[in-house]
Amino acid sequence: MMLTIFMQIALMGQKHGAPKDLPANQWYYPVERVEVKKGSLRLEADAGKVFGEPVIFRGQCMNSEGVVLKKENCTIYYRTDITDVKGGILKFMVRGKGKFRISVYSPLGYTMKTITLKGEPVEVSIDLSKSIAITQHGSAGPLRIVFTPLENGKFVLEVSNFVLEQEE
Amino acid sequence: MLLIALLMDPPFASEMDMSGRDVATCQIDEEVTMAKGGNTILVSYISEEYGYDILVMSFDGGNSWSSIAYGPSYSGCWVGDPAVAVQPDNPNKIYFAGIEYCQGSGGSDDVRGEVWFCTCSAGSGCASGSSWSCTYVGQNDSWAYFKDKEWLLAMGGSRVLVNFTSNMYGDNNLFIYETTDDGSTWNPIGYLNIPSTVGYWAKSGSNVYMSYNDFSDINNWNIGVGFIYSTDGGSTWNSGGEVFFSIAGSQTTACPHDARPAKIHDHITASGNKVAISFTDDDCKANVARWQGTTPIGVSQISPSAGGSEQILPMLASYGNYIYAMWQGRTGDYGSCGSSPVGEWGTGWAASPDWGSTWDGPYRVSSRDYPFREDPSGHDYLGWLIDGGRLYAAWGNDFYTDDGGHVLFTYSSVVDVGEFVEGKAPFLVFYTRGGINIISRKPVRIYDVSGRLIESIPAGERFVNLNPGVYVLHSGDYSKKVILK
Repeated sequence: MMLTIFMQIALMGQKHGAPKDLPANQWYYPVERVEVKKGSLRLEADAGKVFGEPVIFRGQCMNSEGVVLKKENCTIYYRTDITDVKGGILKFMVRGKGKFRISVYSPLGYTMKTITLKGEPVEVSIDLSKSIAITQHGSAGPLRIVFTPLENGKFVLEVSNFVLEQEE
Repeated sequence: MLLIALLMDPPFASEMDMSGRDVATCQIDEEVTMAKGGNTILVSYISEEYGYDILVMSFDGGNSWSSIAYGPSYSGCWVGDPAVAVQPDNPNKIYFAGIEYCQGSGGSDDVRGEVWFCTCSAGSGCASGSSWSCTYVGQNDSWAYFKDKEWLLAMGGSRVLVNFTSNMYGDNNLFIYETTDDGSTWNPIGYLNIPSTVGYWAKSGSNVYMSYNDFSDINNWNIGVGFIYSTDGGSTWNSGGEVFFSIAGSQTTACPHDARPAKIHDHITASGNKVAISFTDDDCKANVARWQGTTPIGVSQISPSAGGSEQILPMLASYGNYIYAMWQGRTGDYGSCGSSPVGEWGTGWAASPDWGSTWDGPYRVSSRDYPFREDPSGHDYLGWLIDGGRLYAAWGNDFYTDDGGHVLFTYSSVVDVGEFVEGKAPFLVFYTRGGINIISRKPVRIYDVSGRLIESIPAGERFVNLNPGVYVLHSGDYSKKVILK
């Protein structure tokens, strides 16, 4: 069979401006469902390894479990501009009530941990060297720490500052 | 060596070139996908050389083809992840979508995306850009977030479901949107509350299925593949099934040679109330997980001892109790192109008559092994479907003779495939230029129309050079007439 290809290049997209950058080094959360105030939980470390400030989140989410598809977003995340992640350990303290998935996205890829909080402070250590590529685009951009409630109802989540310990 | 023996000759019809040109040295046409409805066949891929998503269209069952392309609308941005669909009640209405990526300010790894979606109702007139209207799926966030891997499911009329992964809410989640007006407006249906990055559609009767991968246990090196399903056309969704496989051995989603994260793949097919999802496991072998309804009925490698030392992008098609799988398999070393390592790969297929319990094959789809760029690797999926009793395949031959890598399209005669897989026919015949290809379990004798024996061939795969004419093939008490034009 003879194959004839007529090639026409058409720019059908719409013109737009430069990509919008959301502010870095701050928390993002659904303001309609989550209240935030300053926290007191601190993790001491060398100044160059510390970022973020302690915060307390209080929220109520009714479709965190038992639903197939969510419409209501209850995820809280801290978006940084840290791109020079070469492995090491991300540490922070958490305190509160409820079950949460903690996801960490970085130039190394993705890793995660699940925690259940019962009021006592807990130190969380996440080994970033265990990160893997979960998209075809390799890494996941600047460091981002994501907290997702996994139980329905009220939750409290207090997060300390973050410490990123990397080998020099 | 076994693979080479099994894949000696191409079992499919002569390949048609969807590229229409040789690509520049060390560049490729990649991420090949396909859709079909009625006499409309769509093949789409990324031209790395041009920086466009190319759509190649036939509205007469593959006799004639035209093409059009979508390019980035902003300098510094690029397009990828082509997806296509044909509206099932109107083969002249087609959809062409993809991701327009832009670089964020957070370093080279900060990739953002928006899902572009284009509609054309003009049939063969879709070769003209003026016949298309294009929008962005959901809200256009001006490239504030990562968006990736959109897939389309045309539901009839002007309704289309679209899924994609995005970090709009922090995690990478799979989102589902619908349009009921060919993309003019979009309604969010919801998002999957797990870290997930790839989801394909399947439809069987009135049921709609969406596969997903699941990284919610990756802390223990487990990846899940599963599905959700809808019985009301995609408006509401139910939990389906999920299986987990371990990557503790390699602790990576990539394969030893193919640098892409092959283990995030999760293609799905459904037939009746049976569901199957293909994935690449930690041995880098193609697997199929199977369900009857939501009841799991098994997970197994399709072809552990043949079909490539690394088997990536397993795609599924099905009808009745049959599953057909196609994948790209690594057959050996090749060399390099510039700084990129290049291996030798082939495109193969296998068939199961019992919904994945047993497999026949692998056999060859591509007529030859081909040099395949492994790092950076370019392919995330292949085109593979069954329609009207034929299997259709589209894939990229990365570098044929180290240059000119083409996107190729071919199809089979499925009546033969069904009989062969069922064991009713001892051999399978495919017409190709200059003769026929035979896959046989028993010796086959070929006679011309006068009854003269032309050739006796042993069991296996073989190309037989034949002039145009009428021939009769015999094996035991089975015979088949072959007409070569």
